[in-house]
Amino acid sequence: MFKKLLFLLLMVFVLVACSNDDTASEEAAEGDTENDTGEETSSEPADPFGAYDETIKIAIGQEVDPSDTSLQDGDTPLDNQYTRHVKENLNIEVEHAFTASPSNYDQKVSLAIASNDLPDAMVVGPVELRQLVEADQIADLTDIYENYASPAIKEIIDSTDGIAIENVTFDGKIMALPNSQASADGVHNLWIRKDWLDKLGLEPPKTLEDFKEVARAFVEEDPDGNGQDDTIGLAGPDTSNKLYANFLESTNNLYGFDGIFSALHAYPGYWLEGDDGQPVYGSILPETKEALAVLRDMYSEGLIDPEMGVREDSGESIISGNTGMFFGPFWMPYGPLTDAIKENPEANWQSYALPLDENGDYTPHLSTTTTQYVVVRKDYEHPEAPMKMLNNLLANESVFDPSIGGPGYYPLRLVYAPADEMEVTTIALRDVLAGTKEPEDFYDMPAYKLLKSDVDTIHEIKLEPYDNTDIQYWDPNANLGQWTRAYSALVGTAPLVDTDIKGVNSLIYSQTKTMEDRWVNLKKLEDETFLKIIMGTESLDTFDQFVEDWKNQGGDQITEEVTEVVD
Amino acid sequence: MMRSKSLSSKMADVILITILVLIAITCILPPLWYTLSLSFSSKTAAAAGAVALWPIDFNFDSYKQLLQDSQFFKSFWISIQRVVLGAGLNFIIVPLMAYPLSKTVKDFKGRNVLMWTLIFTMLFNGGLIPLYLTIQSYNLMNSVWALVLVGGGAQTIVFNIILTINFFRNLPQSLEEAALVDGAGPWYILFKLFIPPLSIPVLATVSLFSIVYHWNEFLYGLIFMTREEFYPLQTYIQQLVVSVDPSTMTEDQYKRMSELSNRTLDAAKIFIAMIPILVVYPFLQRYFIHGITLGSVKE
Repeated sequence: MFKKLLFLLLMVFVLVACSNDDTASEEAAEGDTENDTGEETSSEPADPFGAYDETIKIAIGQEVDPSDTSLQDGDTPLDNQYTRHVKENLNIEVEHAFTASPSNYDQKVSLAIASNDLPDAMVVGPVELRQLVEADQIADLTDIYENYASPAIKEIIDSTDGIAIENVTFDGKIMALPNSQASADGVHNLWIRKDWLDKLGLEPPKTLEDFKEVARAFVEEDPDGNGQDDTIGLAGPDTSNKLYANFLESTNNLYGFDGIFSALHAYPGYWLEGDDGQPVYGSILPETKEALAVLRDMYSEGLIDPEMGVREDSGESIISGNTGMFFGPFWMPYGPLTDAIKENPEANWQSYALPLDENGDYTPHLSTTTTQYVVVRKDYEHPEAPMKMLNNLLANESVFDPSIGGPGYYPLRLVYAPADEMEVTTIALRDVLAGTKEPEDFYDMPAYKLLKSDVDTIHEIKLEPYDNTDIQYWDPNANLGQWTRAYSALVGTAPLVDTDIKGVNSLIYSQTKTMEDRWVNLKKLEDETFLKIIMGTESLDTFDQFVEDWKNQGGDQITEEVTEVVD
Repeated sequence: MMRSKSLSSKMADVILITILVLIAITCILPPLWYTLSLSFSSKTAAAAGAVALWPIDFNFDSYKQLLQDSQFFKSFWISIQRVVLGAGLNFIIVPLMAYPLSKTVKDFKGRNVLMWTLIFTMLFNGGLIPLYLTIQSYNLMNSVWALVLVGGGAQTIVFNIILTINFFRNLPQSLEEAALVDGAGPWYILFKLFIPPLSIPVLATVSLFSIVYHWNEFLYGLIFMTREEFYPLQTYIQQLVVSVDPSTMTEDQYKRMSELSNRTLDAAKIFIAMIPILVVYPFLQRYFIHGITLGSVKE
């Protein structure tokens, strides 16, 4: 009898669940039809900076970093210089539908999407954007971008050669407002302890063979001179980083093996043009197998951090002075290097566009410059308001004082930086140091927001000789904040300026339909297999089985979809 | 069975207990001690991973900074409210439901239906999104009641009820019969006879479960609270210690990362957050084994 009862109960629950579903979707459908007219309600002429006659409200999703203590004088994430500025200039009152820390923001966004309880506007990533478009939850912003985007924003967006707009265009409609950031953080340079190289009488490694020799010397010849066998040749990824950057997360992979893969022309995680001209996934190509074999040998010889993949933060051993080399983007002084020189002022970390491929070319993979999007809820009455807020941000960014509230508190903030921001900064600093140009020559470049303070302060922190960037010719303590930036430019970005980069782009930087269901599993399969191969727990030939599995478990179907997108 | 208390067996006892205590200490103490050392160390040493057993560059900076963090204390207060309400509710509901359910079907006709309903909720639930929508339509978002009433809180209660039912069933039948003969009704039996004198062990146990659950749970705090100011303490701490994937960071985020990353302060917060449970535990723990095992064997 209890079994029957349980069955009955189950039936009831199932029925209830079904009927709920129906009403929910009906409601959603009604909501949509009612509010399709949202755009026409604003009858004012299109003015990118115009204030509203009556105060309008916008409820947004906002990322708030709990460790950011920059807000001063009783300001809150909802009431600060940025929100007041938006209120005064545009007559828009910002409210928070939700806030979340950077680590939890994506979860909150997913929850909002799944429950169809969207804020009026929010910042999302490419995956969420696609979900929102397919669920028909966000407004078409084509006309709004055309009519309301300020000339400055259009100029920056156009500097991406149409990639930014392409990323947000679905069926010919612009569904979101894209950002654009400097392209430098998509290239993963080789960072080396040059003081160790000098001590052991070595040169920066040009080829992969040299690279192995340097790593071996760093491990075996006690470069830190403490008499203990405690040094690491090449750092490996920690638990929050990847073996290599991929087409969905193409920037800022710390301590990965990107440089080794690309020196062998292997681009795992990227969509490439195959020999037959058709798209193919880089991870299943023979070059990748070859690169894995190289890494596997290096790992078994102890040249790579034996604790890779299990460390919580590979930066620790860089700071403590145990690591000799790692791959990372130009901004590593903002990462572990500041603490590393605090620990040991002689740690001379220099950055190189190495190792080179067999022809002597530097062939890294390149990133997309668009990673974030502002979307507007479909039935929001003022869909142009977020565009105006972004116009206002770019036009007034220099007015704000970051010391009384970090820029992240600007509602719906997107980064708008010219793609060549870091390269331009590096060249400008060199010119000023060489005396060929005066700081004043760079004052009139508003799109390069930090350039003025960079050129003004460079003499405080850089010591003579100006063309030598070794750590002893810097004075970090004079102005640590500016040192971090100048070191990122003159050391971190220098290889990108001085090298003729023969970079490789992914054919796409966003998801296709089947990827929504399958990609998580395929990615997991790939990550686990590759890590096991490198660490030697699986044989190299597991790779062939992986290729087979990858194709069968949806890879083939995804490849077809990518072909369609590319054509 | 009589236990012979010869000298050698006493010796064996002492050795066994010493070994077990040592194992327990090596399992439990290092993480606690490490967190404490970290909280007293300098920032640079912590970032370099140099801190092991003893603090490096001993200082109180983290605790000074902690005192100025108003959100920490706000969240602390919310967590206390949650524990008091949650454990209080648990304390009221559990015996009230467990007592009738500990009767047989002969005495209480609907007993099995009710019991199955309870177990059903333990095994199945609607999932996160329906729960979120429910809480939203009850207007409980950002309210401490959302944390007290739903999700794991409710599931803990069901588990506790089952535990208590078994405990009540194991109390001598003759006691209750004697009380009935003397004219006591069910209310009198429950509140004068069973509670508090007979049921202290089980009530202490279920309260402990409930307190620990409500103090430690963080996910619902994240889901049902839209702003940090409403977060309970563990949610507040979770967002500090979960590392951010740098590949999704924008330029200005990673520029602030090094300035803001502060493991020593996080360690101080974690340590302070552990204290309430460390204080409550010893007082309730002596009833603990008694409370669980008494209900476990049926005669």
